[in-house]
Amino acid sequence: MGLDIRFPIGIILTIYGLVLAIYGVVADPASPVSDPAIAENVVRLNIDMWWGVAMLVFGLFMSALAFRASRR
Amino acid sequence: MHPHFVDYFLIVIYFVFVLGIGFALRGRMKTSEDFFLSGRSIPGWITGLAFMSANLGALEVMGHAANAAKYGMFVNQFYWLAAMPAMCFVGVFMMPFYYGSKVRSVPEYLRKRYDEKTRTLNALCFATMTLLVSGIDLYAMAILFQRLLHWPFSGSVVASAVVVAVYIYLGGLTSSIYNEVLQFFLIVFGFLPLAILGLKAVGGFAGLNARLPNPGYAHTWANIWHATENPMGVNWFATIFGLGFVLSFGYWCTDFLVIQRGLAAKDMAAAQRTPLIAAVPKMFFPLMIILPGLVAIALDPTLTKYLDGRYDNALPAMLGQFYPSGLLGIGLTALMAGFMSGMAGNVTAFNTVWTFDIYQTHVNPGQPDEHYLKMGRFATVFAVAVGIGTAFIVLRFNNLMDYVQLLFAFFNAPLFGTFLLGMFWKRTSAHSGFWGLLCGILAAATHYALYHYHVISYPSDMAANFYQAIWAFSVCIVVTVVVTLFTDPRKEEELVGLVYSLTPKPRNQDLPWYERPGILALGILALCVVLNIIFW
Repeated sequence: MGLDIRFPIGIILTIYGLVLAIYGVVADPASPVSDPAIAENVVRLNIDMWWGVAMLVFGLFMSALAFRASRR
Repeated sequence: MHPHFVDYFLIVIYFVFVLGIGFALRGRMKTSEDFFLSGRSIPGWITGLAFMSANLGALEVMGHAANAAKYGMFVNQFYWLAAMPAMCFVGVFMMPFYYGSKVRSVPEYLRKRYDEKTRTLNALCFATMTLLVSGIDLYAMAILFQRLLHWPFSGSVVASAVVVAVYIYLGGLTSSIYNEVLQFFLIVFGFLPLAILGLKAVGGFAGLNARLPNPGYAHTWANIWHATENPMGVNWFATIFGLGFVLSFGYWCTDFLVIQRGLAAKDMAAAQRTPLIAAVPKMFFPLMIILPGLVAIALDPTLTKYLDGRYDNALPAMLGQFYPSGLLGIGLTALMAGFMSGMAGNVTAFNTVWTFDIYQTHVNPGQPDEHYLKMGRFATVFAVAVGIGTAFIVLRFNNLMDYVQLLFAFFNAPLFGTFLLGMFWKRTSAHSGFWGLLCGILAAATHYALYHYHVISYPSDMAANFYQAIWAFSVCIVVTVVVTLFTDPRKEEELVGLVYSLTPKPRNQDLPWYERPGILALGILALCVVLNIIFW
């Protein structure tokens, strides 16, 4: 088909990961949970940053696969 | 839900990508085969993910989360009892006929196996059904836009429709498949944290079970034996035969929306693996979609705190509750991606059936290929325009899943009977297909009328749909068999490649074991049994 689908997937997840991780580091937004019944269970974690890093790693991995295939 | 600038920014990036893929593929659409079947050139893992994602529209993500809030873990049956065996069956037994006979659509197979009138009847039914379903995704997307951006409903419908129309117009099925694969990854990254955060917040599975309004909500199978004991009001017969056999096999084995993805594969082995690869992520989707629905009902059993009295709000409400801005943008993008690719799947299936099975056959045959390519593009615009109209029909229904299962019980359930006899009984005559299919659809219509006017009654709309499917399927089978016994069989040499007993089996001996369809299917079913036991 010419256009390797792994390129767009890799690129968009890399961008999303970067934006999310940077936003997480800079803003560290709190979880909006307002329900007192579960407030004590809510995870105290910079979820934006960590999930952003996870998306970034996966995005780079996909891009790398696509790049390697295109070199052949 | 209060999105910030960063959330809108992430959504905008997605729209830029979707349209970008359409433009990147524009130059590659040279023949009608490129546009409608992606030139039969796509690797199995891509068609596999697309096979699953074409089905993963608004109904799947919003509808099943809503169903889980309403009926509990019983909804797992839609995945583990219904989808898994049917997906394995279509990959191992049916794909060889679809792919091997080089048909371009499901109705075209019916012309080869039966005759022209069977094909035309099916093509018309399918085109109608697809248009009626396509509005659901537009409706769901418009509701989301309305809430986020406060756009009016009609403006939101048109805006979402235009984006879908543009990218299919440019890139045809390939564009649709690429976006489906992209959407798959977005959904996984967008919804996985929701299940984890939600489950953690209610205190794990133990905490979840303790908070559920009805202990039956925590079981898939334990309450199936009597209709009065389970929240959906269906007994084991309606569930196993109606949902697990007729409705699910009818959908996964004959609905061109999903089969079309297999036809785009690059070779027979890839086509057979398409539904099997799709089955693996599909098996785990309940963890991402049903869990948030259960968390929603556990936190808000009276539907007053977050759900505003509507089960359909379960998933968006949980996103708003647990996601900080940033992650919220990813979650909303995943929702929109699901709606757009659900819509796009319907539109690409419609334009193929319309162009090949109705227009080329009855309206204007014998034109050069470019003419049909143009017609496909025109049909895309037409389908999207009608989809806008059906979005307003959907607005009048209050439960998406009931609406769509009703349509499936009308059209897919009898069709599966026609296929089963056609593929596995070589005696089935050319005439019998048409009459069986027609009587099956009429039986569904009669059943619907009787139920609608309260002549017969069921504990829930979903139970009525299951029984409607059983009736439609049974009538189709009986009529087809009876007509066959009174008409002449077709010559055996005409049926090679179309009927199981007359077709050489695909030889997969040279493939490594992990690529053989039969072994993959057994592995999937074994894993599925384990999941059923864990969540019994």
